[in-house]
Amino acid sequence: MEKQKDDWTLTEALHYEHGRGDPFAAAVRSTRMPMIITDPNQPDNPIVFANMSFQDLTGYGRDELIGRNCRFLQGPGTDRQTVASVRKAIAQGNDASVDLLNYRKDGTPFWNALYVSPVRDTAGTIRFFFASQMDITDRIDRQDRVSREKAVVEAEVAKRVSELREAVEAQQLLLHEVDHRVKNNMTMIGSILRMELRAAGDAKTARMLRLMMSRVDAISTVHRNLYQDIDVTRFDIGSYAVGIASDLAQHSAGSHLRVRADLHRAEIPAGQASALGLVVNEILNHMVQARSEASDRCLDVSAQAEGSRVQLTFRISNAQLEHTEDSYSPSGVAEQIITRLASQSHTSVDWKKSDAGDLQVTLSITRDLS
Amino acid sequence: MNLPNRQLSILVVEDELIIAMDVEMIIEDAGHRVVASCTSLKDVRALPMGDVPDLALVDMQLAGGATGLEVGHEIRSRWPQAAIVFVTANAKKVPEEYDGLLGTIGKPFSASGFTAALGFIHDLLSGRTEGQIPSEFTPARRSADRPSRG
Repeated sequence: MEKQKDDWTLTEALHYEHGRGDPFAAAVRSTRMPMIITDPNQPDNPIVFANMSFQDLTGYGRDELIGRNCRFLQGPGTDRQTVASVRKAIAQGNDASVDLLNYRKDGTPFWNALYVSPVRDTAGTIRFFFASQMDITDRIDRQDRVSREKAVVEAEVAKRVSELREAVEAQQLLLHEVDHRVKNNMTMIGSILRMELRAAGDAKTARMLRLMMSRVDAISTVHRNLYQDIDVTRFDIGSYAVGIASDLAQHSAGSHLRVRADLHRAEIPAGQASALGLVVNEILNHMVQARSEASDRCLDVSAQAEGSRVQLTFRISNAQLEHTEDSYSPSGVAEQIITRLASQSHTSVDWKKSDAGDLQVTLSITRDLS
Repeated sequence: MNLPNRQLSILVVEDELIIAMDVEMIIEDAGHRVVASCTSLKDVRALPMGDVPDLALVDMQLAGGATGLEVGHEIRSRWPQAAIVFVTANAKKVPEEYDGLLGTIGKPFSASGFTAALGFIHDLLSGRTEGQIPSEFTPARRSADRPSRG
């Protein structure tokens, strides 16, 4: 048996079981880390040594390894660019550290953490290449699985978002449809009342129907103004009051009624709009009673807001109301509507008559800011 | 102040018959004349050409598939000088530009509001552009195509 030479030439003596081998060689031979050594000074840089761990890893025996270039470990799934980067490193005499898909003798693939480095002599000439390998299939598989799961989750989320968006659109369409139907129905109620009014035989019935129509119109107006946008949460009660007043002015038979507005921004929450709309309608209808012999009158509407309070003031000169000296505020159904709806809307209504015959009504509205 | 009021010939397109009757009465009470009351595009197509409307009040949402927009186009193609006013619960559905459109009356309307709107429309068609816009009438954004009256 040839004695192990103490020089850079490695031979099969590394596999020599008996006698003293140099400790370095013994370490390489016995380590669990797969390792090979190639000789770039021979044609095609063949493997000149492969330890047992490498043989176990790849499934090839020593006879099948020695003398071959290790490219036989590559296969159809191997990334060509990674291979090219290793080849380039070897050609330039640099280290290379890459993850590469390799194939065993039985054809099964594995992920190989390959580390290649040149071994130089004292003159700096590359004598050998040393390469260690590590099977990292598990790690890569885990990474793949995480990426795949992440992609699945993302696809699910995208699908859910799309479904939710469709549901919201459908809901909005439905809201618009319902809103349109409600508005048509409200128009119908008004139309039917007008039919009855036209057919009314006596003045008392006509007056009652007109009063009913004004209440229906009041709610219709609130509804028409309130739901223009999906997210309207505020109602401009000042402008609304001026609208009601102007309509009344147009219809006050015989006498000329002028409406003056002094409006600051006064908005109430949508939830209070219908009730207060009706209250304002009742009050103004009561204040502006059509009297054929009444002289020119002026109706002042003012609105302002401060903090959680909105104040509406109506003032009519020459009130000429049908009333006794003691009571100039409404009674009966009108009074009940005003009292109950004002109370439920945290609103106080104050009636004041001056000696000159002016009537002033002040509404103090506490905005429901919840 | 009181200019002589010209009587308008008005075409009504509305598929809810009670509302249509209501609108007809409001028109007549205001001193104008109803040319016809149609419930659909088909009805409009069947109208005689000779009775020319000055104005068409068209409901946006009609039964039978066609929309108020299609009906408006049909009316304009038959009578190019007819002004169009949409009557609708949703003013936002009215397109920015529409041939011949004066504006929109909102639903639900009140009799006084509708009448005030008719008065304003009458003023517009007579060339009078001053005056306050009634609350139930929304003028069209582009008024370039407003038909003029001699």
